[in-house]
Amino acid sequence: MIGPECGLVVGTVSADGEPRATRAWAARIVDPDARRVRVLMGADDPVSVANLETGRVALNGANVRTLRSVQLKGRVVATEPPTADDLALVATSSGAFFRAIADTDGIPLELIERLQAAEVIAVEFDVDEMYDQSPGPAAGAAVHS
Amino acid sequence: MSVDDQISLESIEACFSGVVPAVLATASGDGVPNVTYITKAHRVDGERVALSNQFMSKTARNLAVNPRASLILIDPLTQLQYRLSLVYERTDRRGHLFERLRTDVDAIAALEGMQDVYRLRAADIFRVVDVAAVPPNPNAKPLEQLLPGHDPAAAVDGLATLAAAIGRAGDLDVLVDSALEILDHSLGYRHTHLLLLDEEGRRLYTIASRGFDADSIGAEVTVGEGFIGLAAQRCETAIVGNLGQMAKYSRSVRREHEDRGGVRPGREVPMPGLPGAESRIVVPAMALGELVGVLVADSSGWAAFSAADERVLRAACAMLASAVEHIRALERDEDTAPSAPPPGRQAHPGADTLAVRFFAVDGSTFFDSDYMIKGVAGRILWTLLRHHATDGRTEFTNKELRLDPSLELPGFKDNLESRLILLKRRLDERDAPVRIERTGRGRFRLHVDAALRLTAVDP
Repeated sequence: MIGPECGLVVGTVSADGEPRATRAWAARIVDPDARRVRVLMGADDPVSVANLETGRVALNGANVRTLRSVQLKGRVVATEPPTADDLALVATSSGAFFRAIADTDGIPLELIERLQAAEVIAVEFDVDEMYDQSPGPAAGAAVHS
Repeated sequence: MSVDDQISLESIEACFSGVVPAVLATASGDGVPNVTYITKAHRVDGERVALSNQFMSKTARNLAVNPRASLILIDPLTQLQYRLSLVYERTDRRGHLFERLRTDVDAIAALEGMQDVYRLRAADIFRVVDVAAVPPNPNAKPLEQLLPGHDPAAAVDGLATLAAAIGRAGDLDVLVDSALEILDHSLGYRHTHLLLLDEEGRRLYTIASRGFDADSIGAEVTVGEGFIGLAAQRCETAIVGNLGQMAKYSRSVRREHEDRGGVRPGREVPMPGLPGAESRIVVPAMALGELVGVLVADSSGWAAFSAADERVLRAACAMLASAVEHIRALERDEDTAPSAPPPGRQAHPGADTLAVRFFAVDGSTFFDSDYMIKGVAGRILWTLLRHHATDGRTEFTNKELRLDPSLELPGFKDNLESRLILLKRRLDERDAPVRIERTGRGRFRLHVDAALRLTAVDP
């Protein structure tokens, strides 16, 4: 639920507790054993980028076609400019995301593409908690793996 | 606060249509963020928004210790994003605002019959302390190349044409036909249904439709059920621009419920409409403070109806409802004496035989094996056919029907004229060998092009 055809949003928080929402454009599991995830977050919001300094992050991924969703919460271990592979992944993932929306919801592709951030930042974090966020009575239930 | 200085909530009204899910971030007391999608944000006033709380238990716990929140909204027409900084103020569990939010939640739930599972628990109210536009992708195609133009003067012209046609309409049949035709040709609403409220105020029945392939005359909706029924019950306009998304969300709730051992509730409530429609607007038609019916317009376009459409259609519906009530009042005031039965005559020598079956329990009437109509209109049809089969009568009056106890019409404000029009249209739509022709105010003629074989089925 953090792969292609998924909408990704990131939550961060400032040092004084102000939460901030922003979008991300691709994510992948870097190290399953360490539960480490690399997410390519939009860099168009300097507040969200600055909030990464607090070390806390939440990533919500929702499949566009099924709306099955998961939220990962963890601690930031690294932030850095995107690599060429990262940018290729962003192109693939965001393209699949936009096409899935156009397919399922009928929104013109060229309109949805206006959402995409011009720049991204790579954020790696270790997952401490995982929650099922699929719409329904059990939304928010902890997932143990 | 920069709401007043920069972007007002009124100026981003389209973001509150619920067409695109919003994103909400909160944080716990010890600084752990939580981020989730929400189906819709509501603008309360110039400084406040409300969020419906169905399943957001973690969000509620966070807000109890840290009232600050961050909300991302999307304008569905432009795909411009706005980030709002919020401070939680209070939670409503009753009252007008709660009811407003409940309408939307119930509409989604009704798509999959999930009203018992997916229901509004609370409306959380937030004060908006900042609104900022998120820069769009600079490499995307410019907005002006992607959006169609809009001509507000055309709506005024269209309403003027409609008003003139309503003024000329001499009966209900002409009125509803010309109204839907003008809504199509002059105002651009290609796919419409007009439903009228029944005598008991419990059901809406389709008296006219335009722009649909399937038969829909006589199709019924229960007041309070589904998107149309809820709008009628609350006498409030309802707009949805993402039926596909809503259905997907509702299915997801249903699936999650069933995955956890929930009992499968009733079947999806069927709604007459355009196959593959993305947008629907339901506008109550009111006269003298009472609901007369609803107008439903569908579009295959995404986010096709706006607040401007609501204003246009409310004006159209007000004119239409007043005209319907006026015609009904005229019909009730008619003092036409029952016509003398003509002498009996041989019924249709050599014509095909039509087997008519009538079920007294609900008035449903079948021609051979084809369902025709039920309820009051079905009983009217049966009464007319019995008279015709007995003594060959073809000329009838509204007055005699109104006095016929077998039709079970209410004594006050019956909708006999509407039922007759409904029956006439249904027979026309089905190309039936029985037709009704209006011959004057309060009078009509029955045409029967078959030899009748009548069977009444009592329970």
